[in-house]
Amino acid sequence: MRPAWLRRGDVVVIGVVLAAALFAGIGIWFDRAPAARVSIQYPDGSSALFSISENRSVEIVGNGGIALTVEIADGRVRVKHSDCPDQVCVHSGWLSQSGQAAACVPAGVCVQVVGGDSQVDGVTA
Amino acid sequence: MSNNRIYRLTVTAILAALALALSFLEGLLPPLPVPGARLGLANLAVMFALAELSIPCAAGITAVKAIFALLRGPIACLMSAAGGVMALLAMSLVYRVCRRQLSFIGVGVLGAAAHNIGQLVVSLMLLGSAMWYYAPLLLLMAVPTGVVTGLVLNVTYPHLRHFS
Repeated sequence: MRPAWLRRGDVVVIGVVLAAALFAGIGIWFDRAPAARVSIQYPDGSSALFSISENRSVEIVGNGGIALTVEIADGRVRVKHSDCPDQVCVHSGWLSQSGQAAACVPAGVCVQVVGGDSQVDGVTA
Repeated sequence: MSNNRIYRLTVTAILAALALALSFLEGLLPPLPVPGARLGLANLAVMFALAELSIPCAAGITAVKAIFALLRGPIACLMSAAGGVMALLAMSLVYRVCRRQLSFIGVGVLGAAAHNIGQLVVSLMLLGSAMWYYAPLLLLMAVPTGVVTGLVLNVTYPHLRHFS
């Protein structure tokens, strides 16, 4: 490897990575359904479902004492606040399409929009 | 030359310090639009070590990065190690097999993609299938971030080489 400006192998690598991204993207695209519920997964592996159409705020304490605030409002959900220094879940912003997720790996918490029966509320699975 | 081992050790240590400094600098930049995605400038040091030193030297830098990630907690260390080892494996493989067909741009993209796949696998194991949502975005982001890293190394390579 020496400095050079785009060799044939580079084009192949970029092509393969883009194809893989497209392939994964198509899979997710066909898997989507109307947003109905919010699934919150807790560090112990349990999860709870909330209706996405009922405004509420959920407080979670994750691994390492990381506190998160999840806000459900106007058919959308976001992680409003997290004590985690990475702030990856907060930067995920508002989620409104099924399949969309905001995760805090250090805290072991994952918030995901899912489809299905919107009547269920706060059920622990 | 008996100085060779000392030379390699010294340059590896400097590159490891450079990798840590670049990670820190990168953290000061505004976050990329895709959550969790990073520029991966520290990969510069690993790529340079692969090109100029050896695979074990590059592995040493990856190990130092993972150990220092412990400061941010065990999960951060695990994520750093998973991404780092995957990137190292992928880049070492192309370095061994087809280095003449690739420039730093392709190696950078490959390293970034492998790094993101490693982190995705760990997050899938820790948090479950919801993390698949990140797969296309992280793979897609590997292209611009890998190209930028490769371009930066293209420009800085002669200088790095001079100083080592």
